[in-house]
Amino acid sequence: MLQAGCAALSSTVLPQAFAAERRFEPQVQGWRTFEVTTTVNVADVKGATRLWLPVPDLDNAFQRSLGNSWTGNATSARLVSDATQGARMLYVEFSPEVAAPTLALTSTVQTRNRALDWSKKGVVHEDPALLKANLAATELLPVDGIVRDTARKATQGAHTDVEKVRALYQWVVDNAYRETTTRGCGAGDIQALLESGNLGGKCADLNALFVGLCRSVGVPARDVYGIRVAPSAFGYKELGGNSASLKGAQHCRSEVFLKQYGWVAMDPADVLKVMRQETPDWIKDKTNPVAAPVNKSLFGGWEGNWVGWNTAHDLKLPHYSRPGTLPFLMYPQGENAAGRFDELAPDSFRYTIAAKEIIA
Amino acid sequence: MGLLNRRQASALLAASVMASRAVAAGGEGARWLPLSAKSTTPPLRLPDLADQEWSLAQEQGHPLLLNFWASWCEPCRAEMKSLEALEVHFRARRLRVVAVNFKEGREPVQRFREAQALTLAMVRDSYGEAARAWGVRSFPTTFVINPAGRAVLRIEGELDWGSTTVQQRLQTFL
Repeated sequence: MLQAGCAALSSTVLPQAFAAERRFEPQVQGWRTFEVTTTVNVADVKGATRLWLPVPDLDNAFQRSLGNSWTGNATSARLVSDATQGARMLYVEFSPEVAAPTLALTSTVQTRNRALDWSKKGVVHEDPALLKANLAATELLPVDGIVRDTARKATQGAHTDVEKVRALYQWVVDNAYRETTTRGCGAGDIQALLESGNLGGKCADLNALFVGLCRSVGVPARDVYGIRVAPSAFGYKELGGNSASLKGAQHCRSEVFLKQYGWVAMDPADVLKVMRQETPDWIKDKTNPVAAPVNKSLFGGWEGNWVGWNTAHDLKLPHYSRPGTLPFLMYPQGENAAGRFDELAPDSFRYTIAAKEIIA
Repeated sequence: MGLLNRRQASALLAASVMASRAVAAGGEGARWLPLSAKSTTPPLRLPDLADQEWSLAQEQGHPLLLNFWASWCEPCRAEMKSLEALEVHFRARRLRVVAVNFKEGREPVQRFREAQALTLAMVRDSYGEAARAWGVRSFPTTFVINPAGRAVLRIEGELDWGSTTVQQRLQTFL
């Protein structure tokens, strides 16, 4: 599913000469504006239908979430917030009489590249409560036991937070891999990953692993769940989305908080994606000319062809029929009298996501 | 067994990779974990593929195999047909096999069932709550339930359920 949105973007064969010239250097430049539209159609109606759709809920130095609008035949629709994390989402209800529930949500958002200048150190203050929250365990990200043991081994000899983060980033790149058969973006159960000894997964596994390892050694870190909305300006087919059809383009990144720099972009999962899928052969060496620039630049930066939804773990969906929590909200969610919709099967729960860049 | 937290219950998606790749004809590759009489057996009420409610309680009086699976899990797919062979083999003992699908829509499950020409009973754990309650950490995981309705054996990993060795070994738990 993840590959589907990128299939038309590039050829699949990279001549060695071209591979040697690959460049990936996002620089902080102007803002890009996108309209991201999620269109949902529920084919199999059983009683009342409820939907929860992620919306861009980040406002910071790399993203401005400008607003949301929606149309359709919903009985009611409104923006709501998760009770524990405060992540905003669109909550939609269709009464049982609505024969063909449909809704189109359009979110307007501005993004730009991130690229940290490591030479410019300062002192960044952040809300202590926020930092504390980003050091805590979640249901799928324990910060003790095998997670802490692994992180401590990986950071031996590292003294500063920057050194620890660098060691953990490289540890993930060196020891994990992108498992193409993982469904969706993965479950994000890092304890299970580590206990299995098989560190294969996708972004929700691999960046969650990085986040959990960072937290376990005292570095605030968080996942940022979102979606790719445009091709990569650097020609990396695996690091972009086909704007017209963003099927499978969901992608989570991560951030760490470093006192001298503030929140810093990190994406070891995308390094592993490039290594596994960018070329016909699985790249096993991160110094390979295709992988090396990505490995370097995603430590402290990322490309603004991606929109972040939220950073929440363990969400409680308002009006959900069940008492449990959702590990993260990256895909549309829904349920009716027949149960929870399968967000990864386009049968009764059909949705498309498309993005349009607004050029002033 | 008993109720477990989500962390324990969800090796889940990654589990398709983690699950045993080698077919354990004699059961050597899978983990056979007998359950003590003190362990609890969580209740189970789930919809079948026709959205009719099925409950574990209705299966009392005969042995039952409860197989937690997902269509994206290669070892699960590989062993599914042999589960039917097992049901046939123990027909005289009135063994029933019920496959509990993890969090997939009815349509993909139905498609898989038809494509594989399967006839065994299937129910859907659409919220993943059954897997959590039963402490399922990897797929496939199979429980043997005795005629009194108590889980007596947990098997983690793929088996060739049609093999004589497995059937002989299983006999003592039915």
